[in-house]
Amino acid sequence: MISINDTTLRDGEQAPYVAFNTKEKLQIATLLYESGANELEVGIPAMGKQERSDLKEILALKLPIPVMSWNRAIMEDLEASLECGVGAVDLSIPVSDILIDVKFKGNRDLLLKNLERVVKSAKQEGLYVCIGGEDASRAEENFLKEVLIFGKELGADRFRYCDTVGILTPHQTYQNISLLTDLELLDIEMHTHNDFGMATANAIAGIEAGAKSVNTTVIGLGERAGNASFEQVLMSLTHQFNEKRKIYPSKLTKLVNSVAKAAKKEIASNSPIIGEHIFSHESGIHVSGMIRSNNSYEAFKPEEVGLNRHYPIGKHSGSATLLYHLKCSGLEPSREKVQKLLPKVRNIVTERKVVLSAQELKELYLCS
Amino acid sequence: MFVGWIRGKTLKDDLESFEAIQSIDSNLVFTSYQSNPSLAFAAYDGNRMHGLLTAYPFEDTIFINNFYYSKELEESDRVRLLSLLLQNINEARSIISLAKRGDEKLFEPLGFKPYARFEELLFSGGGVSFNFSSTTAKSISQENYQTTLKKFDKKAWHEDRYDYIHNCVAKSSTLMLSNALGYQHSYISTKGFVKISPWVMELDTPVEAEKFLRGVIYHRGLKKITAFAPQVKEIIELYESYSFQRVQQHTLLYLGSKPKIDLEMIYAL
Repeated sequence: MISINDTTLRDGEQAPYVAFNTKEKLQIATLLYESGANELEVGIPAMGKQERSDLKEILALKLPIPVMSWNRAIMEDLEASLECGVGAVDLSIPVSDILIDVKFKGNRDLLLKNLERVVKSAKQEGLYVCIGGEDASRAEENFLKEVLIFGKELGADRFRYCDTVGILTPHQTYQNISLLTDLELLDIEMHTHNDFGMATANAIAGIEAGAKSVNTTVIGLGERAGNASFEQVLMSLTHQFNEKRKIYPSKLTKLVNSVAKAAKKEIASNSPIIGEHIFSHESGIHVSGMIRSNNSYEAFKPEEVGLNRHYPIGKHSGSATLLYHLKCSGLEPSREKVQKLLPKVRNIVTERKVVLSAQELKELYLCS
Repeated sequence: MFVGWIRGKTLKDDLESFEAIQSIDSNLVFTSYQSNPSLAFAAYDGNRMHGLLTAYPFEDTIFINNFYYSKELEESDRVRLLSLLLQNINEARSIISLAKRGDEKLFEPLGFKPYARFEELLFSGGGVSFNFSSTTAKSISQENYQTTLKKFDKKAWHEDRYDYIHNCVAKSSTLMLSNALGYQHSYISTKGFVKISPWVMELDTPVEAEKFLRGVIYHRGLKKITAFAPQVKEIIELYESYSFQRVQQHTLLYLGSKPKIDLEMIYAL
């Protein structure tokens, strides 16, 4: 089973204009666990006292899943994490020349020397170590291999492949990750960003190429356009990879609403998995099919994610929708009359840009 | 009391019964319903109509062109008729309506604001005698009135209202007077009353406007004539100089962004 290592409380909170308080973090961490996250990355201890205090409180929840902190691969950051008592750390190093130039003046040796010292210390402390390869998607292939070989020698457990600026396509991701998984050195974790709207697709492509874990954030929150979304990855693993995961719809709904509220973000009504209208069928052909079989036009059942199915009475509704609602209202509608009603319904909805309620349809039918 | 969309099937009969208790422009109601049934609402007590509202959508505004109710219709149901319209239109458009004195209280809670005062005027015959020569008659009987109507109506209302006037307001009793400086439409509205609606003139053409007023009085013979005109001094004075009496004050109201209307060009709504 793929491990979902959710980073809503670290990378998610790094989204612009977002700040969680302690109470919100504790609730989100609990709900993430209850909703099916396998690991959590919950903060950056080096940020300061408050962040460390929050992290300690999250650890005090004693959730039965690994809880990780994010660190630069320097001793100062590691010490801050150790003070919190985490059992797993992500130790981040830039791996593209662009960022090595910016952060290490191009000195790869110094970078690796730092990494060696910090990884060794972390392992001596018995921590689970993930080397975070920042900007891996823009790194030289040979240098990535060198880092993986070196990391393996140092005793690291995992390598986080970061498409930091979200430039990959799923096909490119598959190729890049295949090269690394073929080495059979360290487990690969996907960390993808959504700058071209491909974060989830790239994360999934990485899994198809052999990655063992994936970073997600609830509602795709994160730097700039955000990260791979927790709910999308969760449902993809369940339905597209047939993983046996138990999903609790009420928990998932609560999680999504809590994060959206804490982040002050609106959830688009057509947002995959969680959008209010994703099980609303309006076009005549689709409704006609859905009334005959619920499998016709749905990838999974709305109940699985705490949503409901609707047949809105809108511009694209056909007679099947009207008949369905009129019958539900207790009428025995005439097909001929309903057919004549359709243009009227279309005019009303086009003008006011709001669908008709079942009651309005009933009144309209009776008035016609 | 049921308040909802107008019942099309029984509309003609319903209007006939309603007309017995309330003076209404039933032809205009019917043509408005036919043009835009989704913007036509009524209140019924059983099968008896007690109120109605119709509206006509232009590109930027929606015009409530009929709003009638019986004394029995409670205020909350009168407001409900208006609310139903608001629910069924796109908020991006402004709404305009002429409200008789006392009706403002129905509109204002919904956000309507006053735009201008109007006078309801009534001509019951009499007044000054005047010459109406065949030359004068000819000067306001331009055959190709559409061009003038389109030009000046749009200039006054900043909307293309041609289809509304042509398809909704005009009827068999229509008298259309026009020349190069304006047009005047009149028709028999109810109980033999002639209604001037609409009438639009180019700015600063009082002499031409007077010809049109003489024209309608002359052509309509001894019938009573009504008009709703803005409180523009020159326009009201023109009517009064031909023995039109002020009957009642009305207010032109709007909801949404303030529409642009050149009242000085509008001699009758």
